[in-house]
Amino acid sequence: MPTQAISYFDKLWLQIEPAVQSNTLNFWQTIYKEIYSNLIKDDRWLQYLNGLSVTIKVSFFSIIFGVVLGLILALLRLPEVKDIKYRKTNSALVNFFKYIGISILKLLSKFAGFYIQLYRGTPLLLQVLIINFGIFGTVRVDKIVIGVIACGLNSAAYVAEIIRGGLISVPHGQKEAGRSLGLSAIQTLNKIIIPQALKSALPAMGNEFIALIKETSILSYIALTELTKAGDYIRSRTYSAFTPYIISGLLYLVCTLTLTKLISKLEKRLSASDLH
Amino acid sequence: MKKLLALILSLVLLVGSMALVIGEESILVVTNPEYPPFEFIDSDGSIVGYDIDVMNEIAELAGLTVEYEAIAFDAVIPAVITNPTTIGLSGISITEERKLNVNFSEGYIDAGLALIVKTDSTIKSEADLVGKVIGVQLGTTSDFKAEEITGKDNVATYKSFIEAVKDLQGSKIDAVIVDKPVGLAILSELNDPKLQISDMELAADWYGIAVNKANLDLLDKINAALATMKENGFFDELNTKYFGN
Repeated sequence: MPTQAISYFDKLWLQIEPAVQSNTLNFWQTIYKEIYSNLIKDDRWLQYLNGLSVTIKVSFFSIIFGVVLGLILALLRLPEVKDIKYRKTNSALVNFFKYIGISILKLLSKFAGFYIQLYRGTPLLLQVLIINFGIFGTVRVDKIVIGVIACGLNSAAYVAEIIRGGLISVPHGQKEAGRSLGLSAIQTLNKIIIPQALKSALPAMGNEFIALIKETSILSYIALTELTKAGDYIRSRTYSAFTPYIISGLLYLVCTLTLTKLISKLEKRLSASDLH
Repeated sequence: MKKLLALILSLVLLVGSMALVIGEESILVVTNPEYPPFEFIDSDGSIVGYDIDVMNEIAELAGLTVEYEAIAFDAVIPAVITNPTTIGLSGISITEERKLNVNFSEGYIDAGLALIVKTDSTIKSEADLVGKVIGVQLGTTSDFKAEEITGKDNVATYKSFIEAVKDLQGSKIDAVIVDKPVGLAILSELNDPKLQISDMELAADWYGIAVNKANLDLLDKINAALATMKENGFFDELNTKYFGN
């Protein structure tokens, strides 16, 4: 029964309160004071859980956004796209559209390279501040949306490089085999190359997702009440030096450990096909 | 002979370093220098302002050596709690909750709160604020006041209130609550005709200097100095310098 439990905690608190006033707490009383004021008083544990749910929401959507955009960027950076050649056909109309299409593709490929350099080369904090105060400077958008956009755009750059690494790691023979079986270039990419590339990129992807969860803490700068800000908020009420951060830190650990477990499970399942 | 020389040399070094360690009583003053005119960074990078002038005078009267360090406002009181020779001086309003954690000197200025809104805003008084999103600096009395008015979920808390004002300019929030002298200073700095400031109804809001609970001796020294300064007209001069009245 939560109500009974809380009244028990309150009773314990009342017992040590005189010592709090006179600053004569012993070691265990100090620890209890920290736990009580940072977790139990005024149902403060709820603040952490609210912060946790925001962190999970932002991380989840950023990861999806980052993977989708990252995959597109990685494909644009493939040598097949980068060094695509324009071959003339007999029809002038087809030639025209082919030329335009290839030019756009090449431009996009250049842009993808530039994008990755830009986002990997500048701090996420600056990106978040610029997106919040600059790009969405005069628009009223939910801070969670801004967070997802900022973190997703940043993550996409890293994901793109990770996937590109995966794509490169697929032996060239796989592509040749696919093509010689009569699959089109797109089909080969879709059914043969990308599945294998994602599989070998998975461990590095897991790392990136974990990093992303932790990096969402930067969003506390734009007044988004996520897990770090929840700790900040409690600390601004209780003036504890670091206890709220330990509690927030433990919750981050719960998130990242869960994700690590999930990814290693997925890795195991995917590696089933490696056994010959 | 060589050994003797080495012995003498090391003794000299030892005594010399001890003298450095013992030296004068050095006090670390932590402050959040994003709060003009009370504390801010001037063009050559040093921390200056009303509070700093007060502290320097106290240091002179009480014979203390002080050093200033810039940190976030919500870290000021925790820093004082964890170190007996650290003082918190950052336009800190004296509140009952804070008194549980640190000792406060006598109040040295009554600041009061102010409300900043856009000129085309529908918010005309405190009553209009209910349910509106209010931007504040985390852990300030403005923060507590905003939470009381509009509820926790509608308070946007920033590391510095300047970011709150920026988000108000961008219409992301509806209003900003801030200590009045600070609000006036930032508005004259920004010179944005779309922003307006008005007083909030609130009882006295005195700033005090936060001192570690274990260091009563230091608290006495500061209070004695403050009493002298209140009598000898130091504060009248200072108020004229910063607020012109």
